[in-house]
Amino acid sequence: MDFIKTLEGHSKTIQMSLIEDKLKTLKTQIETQAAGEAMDKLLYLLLQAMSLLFLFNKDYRKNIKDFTGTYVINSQDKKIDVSAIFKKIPVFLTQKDGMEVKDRAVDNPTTTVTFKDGKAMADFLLSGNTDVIAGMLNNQLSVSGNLNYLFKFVYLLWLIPELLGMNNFKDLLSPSA
Amino acid sequence: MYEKIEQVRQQLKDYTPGSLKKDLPLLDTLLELHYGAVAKVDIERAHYMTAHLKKTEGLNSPMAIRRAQAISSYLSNRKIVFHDNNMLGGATTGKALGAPLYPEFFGLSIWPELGSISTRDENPQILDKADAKILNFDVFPYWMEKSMSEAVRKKDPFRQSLLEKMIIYTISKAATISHTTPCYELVLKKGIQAMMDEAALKEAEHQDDKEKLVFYQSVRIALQGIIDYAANISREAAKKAETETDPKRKKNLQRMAKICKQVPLKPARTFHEAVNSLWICQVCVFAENSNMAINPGRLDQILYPYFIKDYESGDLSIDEALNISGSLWFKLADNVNLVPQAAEKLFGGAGAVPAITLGGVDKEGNDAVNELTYVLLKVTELLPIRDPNVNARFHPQKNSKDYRNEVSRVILTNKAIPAFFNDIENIKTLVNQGETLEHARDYAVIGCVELGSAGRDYSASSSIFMMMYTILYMALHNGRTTVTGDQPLWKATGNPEDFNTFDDFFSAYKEQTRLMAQNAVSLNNTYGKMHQEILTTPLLSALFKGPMDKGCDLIFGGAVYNSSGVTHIGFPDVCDSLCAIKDVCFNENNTDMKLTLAEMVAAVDHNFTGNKLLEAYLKNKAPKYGTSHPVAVEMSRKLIDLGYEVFNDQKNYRGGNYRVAYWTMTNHAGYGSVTGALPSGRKANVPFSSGITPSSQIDTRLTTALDSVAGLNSQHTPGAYALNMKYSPVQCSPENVDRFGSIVQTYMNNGGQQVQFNIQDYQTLKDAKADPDSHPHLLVRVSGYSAYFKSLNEAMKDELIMRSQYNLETGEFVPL
Repeated sequence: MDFIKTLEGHSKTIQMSLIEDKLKTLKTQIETQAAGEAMDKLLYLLLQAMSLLFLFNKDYRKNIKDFTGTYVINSQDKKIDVSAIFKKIPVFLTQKDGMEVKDRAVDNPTTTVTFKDGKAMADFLLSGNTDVIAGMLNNQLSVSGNLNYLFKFVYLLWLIPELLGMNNFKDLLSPSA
Repeated sequence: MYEKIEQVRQQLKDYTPGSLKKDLPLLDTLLELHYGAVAKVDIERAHYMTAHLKKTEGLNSPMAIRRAQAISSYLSNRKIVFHDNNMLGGATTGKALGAPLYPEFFGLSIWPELGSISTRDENPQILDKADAKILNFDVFPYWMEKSMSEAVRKKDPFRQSLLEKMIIYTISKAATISHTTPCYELVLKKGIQAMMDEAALKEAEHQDDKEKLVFYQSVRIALQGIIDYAANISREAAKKAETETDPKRKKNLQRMAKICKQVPLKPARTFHEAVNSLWICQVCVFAENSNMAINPGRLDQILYPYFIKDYESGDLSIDEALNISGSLWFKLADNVNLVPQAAEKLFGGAGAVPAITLGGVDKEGNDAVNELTYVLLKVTELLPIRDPNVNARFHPQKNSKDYRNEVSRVILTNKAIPAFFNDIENIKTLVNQGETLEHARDYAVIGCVELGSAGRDYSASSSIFMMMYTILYMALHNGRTTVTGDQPLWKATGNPEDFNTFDDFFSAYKEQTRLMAQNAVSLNNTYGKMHQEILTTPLLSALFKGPMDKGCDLIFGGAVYNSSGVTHIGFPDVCDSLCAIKDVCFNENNTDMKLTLAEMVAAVDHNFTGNKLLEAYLKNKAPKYGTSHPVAVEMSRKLIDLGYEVFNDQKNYRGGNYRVAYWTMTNHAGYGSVTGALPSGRKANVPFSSGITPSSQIDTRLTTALDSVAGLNSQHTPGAYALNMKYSPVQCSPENVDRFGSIVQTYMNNGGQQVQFNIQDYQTLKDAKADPDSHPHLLVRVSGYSAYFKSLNEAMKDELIMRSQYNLETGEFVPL
């Protein structure tokens, strides 16, 4: 949010350039995190990338037109504990559909996803598998709250590699990406 | 009558699967097309219904009327398609093999897969990119808060969350209303116009009764959709015929145009009209109700008057009867369920399981087998396809040996279909459920194996799935489960060291069963009430006996009977586990293997690691259901009685009974592959045994295995069960056919309710698994329905391979 706030007052071109830069930095961070096997931060970084893509990419943003919903994603050991809040976000002097990321759980989420641990979350993200129900069935994740919101969220998540010209998150995390 | 039957049988004799191309080229072509069809996701209904409901939101109109209008409007406007030269007008979807999407149920579960469902590894279902876009932007967002599961979550979040743990219980109302047999006879006899007139009359009579008024209005509105749909087929067929250059196709379209102008609007006059009328109604039911186990019912009874009139007058040849009936078979197979990837694991390979019932006795208790029964058996023999699910009722005292042997011959020929059902036991158990004798005699098979008086019982027979593994786990772990944390889920019933006797332990098992039953029933009833609020069924109600008289929708209890079904996953494995616990932990006379229950639990929880001796003992020496071991015999009967006892005093949201059943589709393989080890010696992640079938590879004779099932009290399994037997392939000689039939009859005389077969050996199935393309259309019985072996998941394939194989000629078990 701080980053977005700093954008206010700048011209659109500069803003977009900043977002691109931020995205590149995030990619580097993601790569570093993965290489260092610090998976606990992986999701937070991915969500930041997602939030930027909503700002940066008009087509991607269409998916969340007027969408509101709050997600908490955590692990049983609480090493992962992040929130994604879909809402109108101030950009310049207008309000755009967007997503805010917080590195803590917010109250009253629409949906909470709890991974067994960081590895289960990384396995889910990196497997290229979109199957939430299989994850639940295999006891790798549990969900409380509205399941349909989760289905939408996973769909949105899996659009990211494609938007970045990659096949899946594995490509995103590979050093050559 | 028997002379006429014999005459028809003689005529049918010449038709064989090998001569299909020569004798019945139309069916041969349709068979090729069916085998080559790829499942495609169809969103037409979802798109239309969503748009209509959006448009009418906020209007001051009762939900029942809005829903009836949406259904009617969709039927009146849906695309008319002619995929092939099938003799019947009407199609479930706009695709040759369609998977319709129902957003009000579980349709949104494919949201994450919108980009990948077409290319996923297991049973891909093709989704157009443009359709994916419509779903993402227009359809799914509307249902995010409104789908059935979310509506129920607001009422009972805790039990809903348990449902989503997947391995405690399953409530199928989250995904469907269905599993029932409409009374299509009403339409064939009266025609929809007369039924609409009746609704209008009742509407006028009940102007002061708001609920009845709304019901009759909604029926009238919904039925208009059927009339419009048939009229549109007629018009489009006529239009297409004008430009058609192929003379056969042209003639077919012209005839279709004529038929669909008559039916279902008016009463059917001919066999062809009757079959098409029934099919159009079946299609229209899918506008309201998801395409799962909506059953055409007793076709040889419903269609017989039309068949015999045409046949005797010379207007219908056997060729034509086979072509028309075969066309219906392919139509019934024109749809599959839309399933997310994980559901493929649990339910993979299923069709829509429309059950057809043949034979048995009539309402007066007389032999009901007729000429058409044999025609439809011949169609079953000629067309070894996944759907429809054909079932042969057999009354050992009323039906002839000829009929019994003809059913047996068809099974030996196509190696899987039909299944056998015992009229004596099934009628008895339905009477025990409160059905009149006349109504019980008119039962039809529902979906996989369930029973219900045709057109009278709104059966919802797949309402609850009880996970017996989890019940046993809770009894062994002081009420805890593997997925709900360290505290007892419902009640602490004791740690293993607390039980001094087997009876003490079994009391804990009973208590956990009772608690699971109570909670599952509670959630199912909440779902039912939610269906009443948002998913009324005016169209299906019109096609049932009861609702029009009572002025009450089916979903509110309008039918004559209002049962719900409860099936159980893992009966044989849990039964064997209880036997093992009794034998090893509480049997002072057992000197071979002795453990405390705590030691047993520890070994099981560690998947027998370091306990090879125990594992071997449990697998090979402990008493097993399916043998004549007295402990196993007693335990199996005790468990069946317990299942009945805990549900017997429960009532569903329509005031009906819960009927206990033991069929598992492919769930036993799916759930087995994600659950831990059991005291039976079964290791973790291994498929459970199917339905009521004794565990695989137990060294026992065929008759002993059959006796162990036949000895169970069928009055305590009113929803029926699936017994899956595997025979080594044999020559289809008269001796083998008679032997096959005799074994079935003895099993039935001893009390068996149902049995179905795979005529396959281990090696063929292993080869088919190793090289699926070498056996692309290998048809197998799963646990209730049929499936193409190739389309099943790995666990299910393994389970089918592992199933005990018997030599029909010797009755001996053939080890793997």
